[in-house]
Order: sequence, then C-alpha cells, then structure tokens
Amino acid sequence: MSFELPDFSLLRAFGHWALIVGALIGVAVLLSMMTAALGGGQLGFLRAIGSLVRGKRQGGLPWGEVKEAYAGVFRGIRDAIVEIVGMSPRRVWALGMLTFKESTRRKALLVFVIFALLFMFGGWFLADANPRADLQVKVHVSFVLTAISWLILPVALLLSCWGLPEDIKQRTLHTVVTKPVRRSEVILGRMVGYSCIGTLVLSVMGVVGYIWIVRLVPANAQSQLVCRVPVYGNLGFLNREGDPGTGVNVGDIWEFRQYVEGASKARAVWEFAGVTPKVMVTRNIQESGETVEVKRLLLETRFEAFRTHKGDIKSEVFCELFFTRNTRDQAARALASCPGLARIGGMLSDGDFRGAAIVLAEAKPTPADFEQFEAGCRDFANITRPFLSGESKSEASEAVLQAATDCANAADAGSGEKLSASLKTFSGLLDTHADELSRRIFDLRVSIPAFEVQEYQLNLLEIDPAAFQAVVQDVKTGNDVEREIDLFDDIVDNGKLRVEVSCVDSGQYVGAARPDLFIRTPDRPFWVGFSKSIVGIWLMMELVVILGVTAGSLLNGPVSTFLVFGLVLVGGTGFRDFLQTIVAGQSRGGGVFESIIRIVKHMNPTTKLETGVLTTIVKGVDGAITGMLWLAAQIIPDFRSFGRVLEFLPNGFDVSWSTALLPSVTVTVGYLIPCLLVGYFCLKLRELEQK
Amino acid sequence: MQSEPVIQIRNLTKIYRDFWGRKKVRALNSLSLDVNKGEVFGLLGPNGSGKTTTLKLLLGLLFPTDGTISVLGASASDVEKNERIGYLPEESYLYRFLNAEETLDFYGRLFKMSSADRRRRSEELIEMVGLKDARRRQLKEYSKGMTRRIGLAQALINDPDLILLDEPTSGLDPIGTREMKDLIIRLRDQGKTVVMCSHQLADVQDVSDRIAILHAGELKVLGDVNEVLKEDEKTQLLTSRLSDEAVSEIKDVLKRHSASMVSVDHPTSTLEDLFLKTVDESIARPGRRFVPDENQAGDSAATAEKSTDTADS
Ligand SMILES: Nc1ncnc2c1ncn2[C@@H]1O[C@H](COP(=O)(O)OP(=O)(O)OP(=O)(O)O)[C@@H](O)[C@H]1O
Ligand SMILES: [Mg+2]
Repeated sequence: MSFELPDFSLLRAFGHWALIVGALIGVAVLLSMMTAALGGGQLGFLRAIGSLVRGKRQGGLPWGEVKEAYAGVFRGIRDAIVEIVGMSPRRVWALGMLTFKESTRRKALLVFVIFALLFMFGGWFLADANPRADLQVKVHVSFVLTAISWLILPVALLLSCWGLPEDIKQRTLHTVVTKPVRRSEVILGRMVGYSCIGTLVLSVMGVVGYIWIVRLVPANAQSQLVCRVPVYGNLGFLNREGDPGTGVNVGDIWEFRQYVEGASKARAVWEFAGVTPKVMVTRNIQESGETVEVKRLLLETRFEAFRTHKGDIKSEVFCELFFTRNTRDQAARALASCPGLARIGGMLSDGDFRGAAIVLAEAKPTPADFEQFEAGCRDFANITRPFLSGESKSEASEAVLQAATDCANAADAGSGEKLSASLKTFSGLLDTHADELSRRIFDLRVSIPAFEVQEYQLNLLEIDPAAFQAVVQDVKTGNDVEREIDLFDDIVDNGKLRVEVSCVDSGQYVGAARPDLFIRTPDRPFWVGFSKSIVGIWLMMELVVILGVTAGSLLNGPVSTFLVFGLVLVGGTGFRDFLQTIVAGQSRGGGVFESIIRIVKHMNPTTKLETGVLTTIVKGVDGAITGMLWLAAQIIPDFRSFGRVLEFLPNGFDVSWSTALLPSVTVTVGYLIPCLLVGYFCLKLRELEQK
Repeated sequence: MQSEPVIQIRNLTKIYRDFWGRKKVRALNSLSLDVNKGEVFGLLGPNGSGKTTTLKLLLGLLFPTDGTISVLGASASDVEKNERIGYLPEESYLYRFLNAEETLDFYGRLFKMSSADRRRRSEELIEMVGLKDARRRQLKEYSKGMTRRIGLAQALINDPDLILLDEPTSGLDPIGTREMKDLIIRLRDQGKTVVMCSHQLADVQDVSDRIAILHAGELKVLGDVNEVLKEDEKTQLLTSRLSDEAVSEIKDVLKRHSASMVSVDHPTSTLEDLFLKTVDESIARPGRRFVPDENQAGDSAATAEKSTDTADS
C-alpha cells in the first residue's frame, strides 16, 4: 500500500476530543447566558434580535428576570445530565423497534433490489479484467466494498435525516412525548432503530458480497484471497560513508521514497520490534521424497530501482539484504552519549577498546552531566549484558558489567567522587580485557543472496532462520571459527531485528519507503479481513445515522439531508485539512480585522502595527475568530479514517486495528455523546407544537 | 366535592410567535383555574378559544409565555408525571403503519408495564373500544371513528389517574358517544380525574361536575354545572296533568297567592343556553373577565343575573 501509516494514540485522541467538546460546551453555555441576559427567558435571544432589528426594544434589562433565566440555564445543564444518565433501555428499545418498523414499512429494504441488480450484472464487467491475480482480487474486492458502502450510506442518510422531522410534522411524536418518555430517549431510540436496520441490511449485503467474491474470483487468483498481516519496522538510512543520515533524493517531487546509492556504504535500515519465532510461517517442503513442515521467516519487499547512465541503464538492479546485530555499535553509542565521551563512539565501533579506555579515564563529569552518565552507562550495561553474563561468562566479563553498573549507580546517587572512582575502574578493566571484550562484543552480520529489484510488484523472500553461517572469534582463544547462526537466537536481540538493504550495482539506486519491506506473519483467512472491512462500513453508517438523527432534531428533512451530506463530503475529502491549514497557518497580514485595518491604512503586510490598545483589541478579536474557525473545523467529522479501513483488503492486507479500525471506532464513538446532547437540547428547547 | 387540586393553573398566558419571535396570536390570556381530584371537568368554548392550547400546555407540548402550571404536583415539563396521565389528542396522532395491537403494545412499553400486563391491558382495551375485528389492520385503513377509538384505548393503556380528552366524542357514532359517556362516568367512579374539551354540550352536561367556558383565550364562566345553570329568578311548578279549567283556576289562585303548591323548584336551563349566552355576552362586552378564585358565591349570582335577560320565552 502506498500510504504512510499514521500513528494513532488513543490517549491523544481522547485529549483532543475532550478539548473540543469542552470548548463547544463552553461556547454553548456562554451563548445561552447571553441569550438569557438579552431575553430574560427561553427563545429570548431571537426575540431580542428581532426587536433590535425593528428598533423597538425599550428599557434596560429586567434584572430579576435575567437572574431567573441564569438559574434556568443551570437547571438546563443539570437536567441534561439527569436525562442522559436516567435513560431507560426499555423505552429506548421500544422507540428503536418502532423506528425499525417505520423504516421497513417505508420500503427502505428496496435497496436490496438495487444491490441484487448490481451484483447480478457487475460480474460481467469484472471477469478477466486483468491478467494479474492480485489485481483481479483487488478489482473484485474493491467493487464489493465500494458498492456496499455507496448503497448503505444514502439509505442511512435519507432514513435518519427524514425520520424525526416527519415524526414531528405528522405530530405522531406528540403522542409519544405525552408518555413518560425523555427527549434523549427519543433521539437515542431513533439512532438505535436506524442502526438496527442498517446492521441488518449491511450483514445481508456482506454475506452476499463475500460469497460473490469467493465464487467469482477466477481460479488462478483464488490463492490471493488472503489477509496478509504485516509487521512494519522503522526506516532509517545510512549515507554513503555508512553514517546515519538520509537517503538520496533522485528528483521526485513526491518524497515518498528515499534512495540508496549502489556500491557504497549507503543502506536503508529497518528496525523491527517484537520479533519472536511466532512471526514465522509454516511451509511444507519436499525433502528426500517426504513432506516436512518447516518454519520460515517471510519478508515482502517492494523496492524501486532508479537507473542512471553512470551504470548500465538497461540491466537489472540487484540489492542485497543483511540481518545485523550491531551490539558493539549500540554499546559504543551508549557510552558516546555521555558528555565528553563522544570520541569513544568511533573507537569502540572499530573495536579499539584500549583507546576507549584512555578517553574514559580522562572523563571529568560535573554534577550537570550525572543524568546523562547514568543513562549512558546503564544502556551500555543493558546492551552488553547478554554477552558478558550468561553461559559463556568469565570473571573479566562480569567485572566489566559490574563496573558499568557501578558508574550508573554512582551517577544516580549524585556522588561525583564515587562516579570518578567507578569510571577509573571501568576504564582500567576496558584496557586490561580489551581483547576479550572485542571478541565478546561485536557486530554480527549475515546476508542472503543478492536479488533483483522487481518493480511494481511484491517480492516474497522466504528465509530459513537457521541457514546462516558466520566467521567469529572464539571468546577464549581468539581463533577464527565458523559458526552456525540462528536468526532468532543470535541476531534478534530482545525482539529487535535490524535489516539493512544495500544496492549492489554501482551507479544505480534503490528506493525504499517504510512499507516497502515488512515481515509477513501468518496470513489470516480472507473472511476475517472482509468482516473487518464491513465493520468499517458499519462504523461509517453509524456516524451518518448519528449525525442525521441529530440534524433532524432541529432541522427539517431536506435541510438536514443536505447538511449531513455536506459534512460527509467535506469530511471525506481533504477539505477538512485545507480548512485546518487556513486556520492554523499564519496568514500574512493577520486576521480579518487586522487585514481590514491594513487595507484602510494602505499598510504593507510586513510592517508591524504600532502597539496600542486598538492593536491589542484587533488582535484579540482576530484570535477569537480564528479560534472559532478552528473549532468549526474540528466539528467536521473525519470520514477519511473509514476510507482508510477500506484500503487494506483490496490490497490483500488484513485491516489493521491500531492504524485503521481503532481511529474509526473513536471517530464514531466520539460523536455519539455530543450528538446525543445536542439532539436532546434541540428537542427539549423546541416547542413541538410550534411549526 | 373533594378539594385536592390535581391541576393548578395560575395566570397562564400563551402567545404564539413566529420564527422571528413576532407575536401572532394571543391564544390564552391570564387563565387561572383548578381541577380537583376525582371530578369530571368540562372545558368549553368556541373554535379557537384556546381549549386545545390549554391541554397542550398542561402536557408540556407548548411552553407558557407567562404563568405557572402544576399537574399532579409537578411542572408541565416534568416527564415523570406522565406515568399517571392519559391524553387523547384532538386528532389521533398515531403511527399509521402500526396495527391496533402493535400500537397499544408500543405505548405500553413506554410505561413501566410487564409484557403480561401489557398484553392483558391491550386485550381489555381493544375489547372495550370495540375494535376486536380490526385489531390486525394497519391504522391507515381505519375510519375516523375507529381512529378515535384506538386513540382512546392508547390514552388509557397505563390506567391513568388524570385523563385529558380533547373532543372525545367527535367522530363517534351515537352508540360510541353513549359508551364514551358511560366510560367517563365509570372513570370518575374509580376516583380518576377527567378533563374534557367538547362541543357536544349535551354530553358535557351529562357527565361533567364542573365546567369552564373560554372565549378568545379568556375564562368567562367557571363553576359547578348545577350551580351555574340554576336560574334564581324563576319558579317552576310541576303538577299532575290538569284540565284547562284547573289551569285557569290555578291562574286565579296564583293571582290571589293562596293555592297549595304541588312542586316548587329551581329549574335548570340547558347548558346550550348558557353557552350561547356567554358567547353573546363576551362579544357584546369584550374584556370583561370572570374572576374565578375564592368568591364563588358572587360568581353564581352574576351568572344568574345574566340569565334573567332572556328568561321569559
Ligand atoms: N401552532 C399554532 N401556531 C399559531 N397559532 C396557533 C397554533 N395553534 C393554535 N393557534 C391559535 O391559538 C388559538 C387557540 O387555538 P386552540 O387550538 O387552542 O383552540 P380550540 O379551543 O381548541 O379550538 P377548537 O374548538 O377548534 O379545537 C387559535 O386562535 C389558533 O389559531
Ligand atoms: Mg381544539
């Protein structure tokens, strides 16, 4: 898939939600206070404006009435809380079922007919549309998902936007509210009812759609009906000197991929976390006439080659893939992070433990540095622990580990003397046991045979984790020995796996982005991903229902349909972000009023306004307006998160919970309570009789 | 009669406004009245006099412009009190896609009723309003009278203590009207309070304990039915059948003030007379208002005095 995977934090989302809802409630209370002050009673605001417009308002504020009205505002808030908390599930359900019946009798289920027609004939146009199996699957799956969402959304929109206004217009709601029914129950009941009918329609369509896909996808593409479950790593780059840096930009305007230069030390480096033998998949292979089950690590890659005339423009581009455990490098970086020890980094990386010992002996940490020394030494100890203690430990190795830990503890305790003493010991040990340490703490690197970069298609690498060999020095004797390397035992370090990719051919480049290489863990069945996609559509439908019912509590049918449709449109396209940039971006020349002043005074947008009361007021007002715009932009629901859910399955991926489904769930849930409140207030403050 | 007020209305004013808050109609003007527990209260008045408005205000469907309302000890906007109220709207605003059974079941669910209760109660009510044969038909197929009947059943589903009926007999056949009156009396006998609006004056007269007459949103008459219809200025003789001679003799006798009286009574006129008189009066002398509270004695005197004007026909 070609989109960046946004990180989603539930806590941050909740914080944002609380901020918006809080701000909105604040604005609402402020407005109602103003209303109360102006009109001294319900609907007084409109009345006051009406009379102001006609210039008839006489006399000052009737203070007693205003106070009474303020009390009314607070009573209203209290009532709202009581209302929402005191809803009766029984009544909500009764109202929900009524809504359900109403919808079915309004022939909402006719949508099935359209659905059936689409699917009866849709197959004609899709069959054998593309020779490539994965693209055939893609076409079929996206057809089904798109058809279902485009059918369910209008139904949900129309039903939910027209239901309540009709109920009010026909006055059937009047009889209902003369029963002990809370207004919030009316709102929630409607939402529940439409959800039920939507769920019914959606599940039928889902089942039919699933069967349709499974039956219609051609035999050669059936094997592609799977949900791949990728584990993505974090991507970094090493530059041509082999130092951490960035990749090369080959002139693309769109900087999605960065490129590594061929035949240099440049690398694209993925660091995966949480890698355990569980990520491997089981394969059956033929071995001397028998079928045996083996475990394999699957890596999928999709690099891009960039050829230049410096190399051979026509030939293939090869890349090489390494699994590395860079213990020494990490240990070096840990120590180098301490103030004054930066030089250690390069020395240790090259295995010069004696040189490092000298630098360490010269260290003069001041109290301000203690914190960094603590962290650096602690990291060093943690990184090297697996190689200094454990089975192969020796007295020397344990002493080094102890010394590093002592340094960290001394720094933590804030004792300069102790720290200096411990550093001395540490340095001494590094010097004495330099040879042994360089044998124990080293970077391990294994590779798989170079392979060709095949563009625009996925390349599956099946890796036998036990099939590696490397030459290492024996800890005791220092002799070179050839050792069998197991990927999970020897390379993976605390669940962390580092994969480096380089370009073999000089003068050529290999481009990589974060999703271009991932570990493919055991696939899930197709129906799992399909159900998750349907859940995504369901969430979108729910949001439409929530918005529609809420709009219908205040507006009439056509207007609320128009409003919600507009919200879906604006929220589903990039317009929301566009609005946001307007609001957030520092536009030149200031806000509305500042610009007006500049225009009137013929001021250049870059000259500063002279400071003064007026400027302060103008800036304040502009700030308030910007704040309001920001708030308004936040109210528009982000429908794109639902679209994101639907992108996974057509591309053969399982729907990711954390990057796609969870954000959608939060969007829908986030709108439920505020909408319920708004709907309640609209129904409550509205004289149902008045039309 | 009992004096515990079930409904208390004080200085209730309702002004209908348009969207911009401009005044359209003053539908009620400073109305004050009480309805006591266990009585049948008749609300009368010409079309557009504010009867329906009053009932809707009592139910919180409209908000008062001024004044206070207390219904069953709670404010009009309190939903809890609705547990004990039944309301038959002027036109039956019911879901037309439901059938009779579904309708009653739905409204039953809105109260704290078990499903067994609900079933039993709907059974009884369908039987009572005579819709047994049409119970499975959708309401949109119902005739006007049938709709009124299911509306009534719906109003009684929760066995309410206070029943508000807006023109309960409109659209009903004579038998239905008769049954409606019987029902109202039965409800009163069960200790329930009934408030009804109606243009069927004879019906109101038959069942009401007290009445109020509204005109143009103002209260014109309020009181006990027998009280307000009493005509003090006249004396009625009720005798066995007399010959002409006897009649002329009695006339002579009456001239000499010395006959023995067979029956002397204060006759009651019909409510119809009173209604017409009140409306005429109100049109002739606009703005004159009845003061309903404490001074009941003075009030009945005032009405009695009015009724003398056309007494000799
Ligand atoms: N929703 C409304 N908007 C504006 N005015 C209204 C509304 N409802 C009623 N009115 C006005 O209020 C006044 C009282 O109406 P109401 O319905 O209470 O009369 P009523 O006594 O019930 O009459 P009827 O005997 O015809 O049922 C009338 O003048 C009417 O036009
Ligand atoms: Mg009426």
